[in-house]
Amino acid sequence: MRKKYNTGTKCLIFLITALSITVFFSFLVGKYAISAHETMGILGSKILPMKQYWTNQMETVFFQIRLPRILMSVLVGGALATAGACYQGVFQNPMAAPDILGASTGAAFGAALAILMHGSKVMITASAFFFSILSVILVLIFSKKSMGSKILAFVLSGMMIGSLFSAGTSFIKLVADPSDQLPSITYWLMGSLAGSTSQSVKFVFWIMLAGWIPIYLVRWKMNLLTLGDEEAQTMGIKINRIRIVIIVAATLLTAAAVSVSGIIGWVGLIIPHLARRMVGGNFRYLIPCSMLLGGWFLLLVDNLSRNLLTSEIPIGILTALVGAPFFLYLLSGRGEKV
Amino acid sequence: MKLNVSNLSFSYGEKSILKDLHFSVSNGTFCSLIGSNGVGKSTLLKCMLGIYRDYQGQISIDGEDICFHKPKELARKMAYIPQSHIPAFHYSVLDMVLMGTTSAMTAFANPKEREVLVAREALQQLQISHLEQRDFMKLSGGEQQLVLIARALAQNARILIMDEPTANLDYGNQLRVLDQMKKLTKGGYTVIQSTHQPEQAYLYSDQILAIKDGAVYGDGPPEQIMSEQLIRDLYGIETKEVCFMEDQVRVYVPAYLAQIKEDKGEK
Repeated sequence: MRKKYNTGTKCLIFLITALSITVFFSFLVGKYAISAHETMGILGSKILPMKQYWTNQMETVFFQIRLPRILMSVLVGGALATAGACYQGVFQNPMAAPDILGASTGAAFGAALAILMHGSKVMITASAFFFSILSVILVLIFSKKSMGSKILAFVLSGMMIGSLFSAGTSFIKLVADPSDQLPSITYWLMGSLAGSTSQSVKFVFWIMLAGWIPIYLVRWKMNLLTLGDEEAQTMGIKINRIRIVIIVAATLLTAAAVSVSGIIGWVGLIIPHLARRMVGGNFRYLIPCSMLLGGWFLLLVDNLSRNLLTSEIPIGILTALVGAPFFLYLLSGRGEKV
Repeated sequence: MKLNVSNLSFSYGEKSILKDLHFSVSNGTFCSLIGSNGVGKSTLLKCMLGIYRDYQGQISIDGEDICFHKPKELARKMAYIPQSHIPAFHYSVLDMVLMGTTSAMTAFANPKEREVLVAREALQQLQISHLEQRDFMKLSGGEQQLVLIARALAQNARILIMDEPTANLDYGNQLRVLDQMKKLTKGGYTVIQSTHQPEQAYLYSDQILAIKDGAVYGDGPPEQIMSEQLIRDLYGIETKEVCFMEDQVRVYVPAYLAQIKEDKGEK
């Protein structure tokens, strides 16, 4: 037993270390070169009094562009992966992803609508967030009326609401101005972290924190929920209340992530799987592990997306490019563990 | 702990499933529910477990009505042992058993040393400590069932409710599981199981509760209850009762046995 428990903790320590190192090196890569020495100086000057040996421009790039972007990829990756793990637990299905209740399709519709209305960047984010939450609320309302299996009701209503919103998105694309609106809708749908600012980081940080705290607190009970309602209830938990708390919290995470980054697929599906390979099925370790691993993964992919070619590659394309083959590898049974 | 059920009725919408049931099960009793498919055995168990709460009538434990109990309180009195089934995710046997301790923990807690101790004790009691680190998913059906029983013990409830616990098991595992359950009743646990095997019910039970059309059709010690007549009334089949070992074992063989032999002879 001791051994098992140490595995979980060890993995978390490993991930925290790996993430910190990757964050540091992410400051160094990019079109505007900042050396390791200068990075340490800029970071250190915030804590210790220090003589400036870097240019002001460097500091501006560091704080206005690189830092928000790095933080954003870690936050978004962590949020999507955590939400994925939660949805998989609640729906007792390892194939569930954060968009299962229509959070992503809702956000896409919201963003497309705002772009059509010539909304500002803030408006696009706000509208995406609003419609993302709205679609999940609609799913919850419709599934409440169903008599049979709760889970099936959630999944089916999620599919229906999702397809309604994607029909809406398609319609907006149809009527959008093909010279500027349509490309920006399409670009948004591909997902990108390029527009990250310190404001948008602050915006999502608080929402994600609000989603993450309840998930972290009830993560042990999530284990019981995966065994099915009847078993979980007879072990003394209030299944409906816990399920709603988890769904709402995971939706906040997803909506916040999607509203600032666009549609970034695969992270919410593969990262929980990978995390399960590392620490096992127990949500006590799976939740923090998914978050760290998701953040790490998206940061690595985002570094690729901004440095691989001279122009940026939308990160959604890269996550699919990396994610799909990786998932096939997981399915092939290699690394069959736990 | 004495479980008392009185005037219990339950219906799914229009369809009435349980009709005015009365019975009680006292401490340390091995009670088997028998009856054909769809007579309401599972429904009855679910009412007792507090899964279905909109029943009429009263279910009480030691005189306390369970409908006033929160899931957490009920979990400390009654544990459910489902049929072994494959969970969606990989859990170690220890984690699986630890889940039983949830009702004794505070709202946002994770299992700690104390809970691990309780879980290990439960595994030890069923002599399956060696499975502790194994993946629950990869155990045999019999082992899984024993782990689920251990989880119920870790839950620290005195009444164990099982819905056809041996249905998916091979012959050896069926007897092994029943044997463990019998031992538990000697230790003061009350076991209530539903089963489709009258012979096993006769052999292991202290009390048999026959359900027909949602009502209690027979209730009492197996020697008094079990008969050719009961089998005919419950399952609609003619049998011949054969008793062995000073009536410790009763077997029901099909009345058309002669016909079966003849058919075999023809081949």
